[in-house]
Amino acid sequence: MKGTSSHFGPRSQSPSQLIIHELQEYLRKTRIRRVHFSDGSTAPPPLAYVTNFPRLSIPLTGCDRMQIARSGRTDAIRPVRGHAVFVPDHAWNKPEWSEPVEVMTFLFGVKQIGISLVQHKGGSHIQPLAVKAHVHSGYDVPTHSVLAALMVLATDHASGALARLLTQSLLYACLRLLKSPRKQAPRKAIRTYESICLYVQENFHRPITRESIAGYFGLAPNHVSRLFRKEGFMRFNDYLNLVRINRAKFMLQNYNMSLKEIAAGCCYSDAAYFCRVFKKVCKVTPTEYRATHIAHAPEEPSKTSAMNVTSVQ
Amino acid sequence: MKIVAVTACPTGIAHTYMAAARLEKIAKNLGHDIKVETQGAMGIENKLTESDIRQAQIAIFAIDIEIEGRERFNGVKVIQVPLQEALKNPEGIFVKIQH
Repeated sequence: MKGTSSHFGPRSQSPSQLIIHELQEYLRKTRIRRVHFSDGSTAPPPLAYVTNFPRLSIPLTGCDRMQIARSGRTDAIRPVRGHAVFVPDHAWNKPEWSEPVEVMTFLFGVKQIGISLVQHKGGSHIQPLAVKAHVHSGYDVPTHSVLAALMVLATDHASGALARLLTQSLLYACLRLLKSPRKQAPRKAIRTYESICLYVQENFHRPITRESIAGYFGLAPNHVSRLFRKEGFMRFNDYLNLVRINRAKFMLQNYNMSLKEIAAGCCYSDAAYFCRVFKKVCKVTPTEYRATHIAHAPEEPSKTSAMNVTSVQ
Repeated sequence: MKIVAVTACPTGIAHTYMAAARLEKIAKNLGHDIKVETQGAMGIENKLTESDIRQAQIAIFAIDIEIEGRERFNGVKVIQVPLQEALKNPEGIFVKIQH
């Protein structure tokens, strides 16, 4: 394993230059040897990451120990350099970060692709170091097509050469997007707003606040509020609640979890408060919602790894 | 007036639901009877039935993406606006309806 401090030392490169450089070096030296696919066939444990868009992560150094769901079982995996973890929409993974690891993660959001390079030093109390870059121009056809093909493979847990080569191709497609000159990049305010939205969608299960977001993005808290008011026509807290309630709806439909577990999974410390917010947003209580939207018998694992996010009604 | 509406946006997380809430609120204030279907990340919710649509005098589409089941609205007068309209100026949509 090479030293892990170099990428985050004093630097003159911008975050996206750094990510381009790291990804380029990775692709020059490394072939994807193994792809782990996660699914949503077991209920996400507390603090698991789950988003309604697909994600891909590749460890650069160290071992990115994590739990994933696979065919109705929760598995512990130990991905290292050369491995990739693909997590389709609504599937989950739970990284442990118990040992030092440097990992590059790709978030394939609807409007943009977010890429982060995160260094964990091991031990849960230390804040990880992170740099992040975004492709705001959206998807080009190669990236979109390769991602779509990989999503199909994920649903059959295919782990052969095709999955490895498609994953490798997806990394090349992302690199190409990152390097391509921006055509009509949106205004900075929109870019920042969209980056914050993506971050909230990824981290809604953690205790995030307007202040913590402001700190993470290097903005004043009031500026975060202004961005949401001007670009999103809403308050930051309303957005955060909508993301959490949306996730709660999915869990109510697909997993046989108690309201307390669901509340905790969406980072509401108090189930009664969660029910109040849910009722306010959805006009019905979580229990009523579950009764009318139940998708699967409790013992049957949900089929959530499909690309399609259409209704399960 | 009986109104049906559909809201949909690309991410389907926030704006779809917020637009629905605004349309409901304004319609209520103006004394209209409205039912809003949301096509968001959780799929179609509060789905409009055939009879909802048949009884409606007008349908509002506040959408930024193509919706599922547009053919259900054949024969109904449809007003389509960008979703932002329903967030920024929902009253304006109802002014359009009156004319």
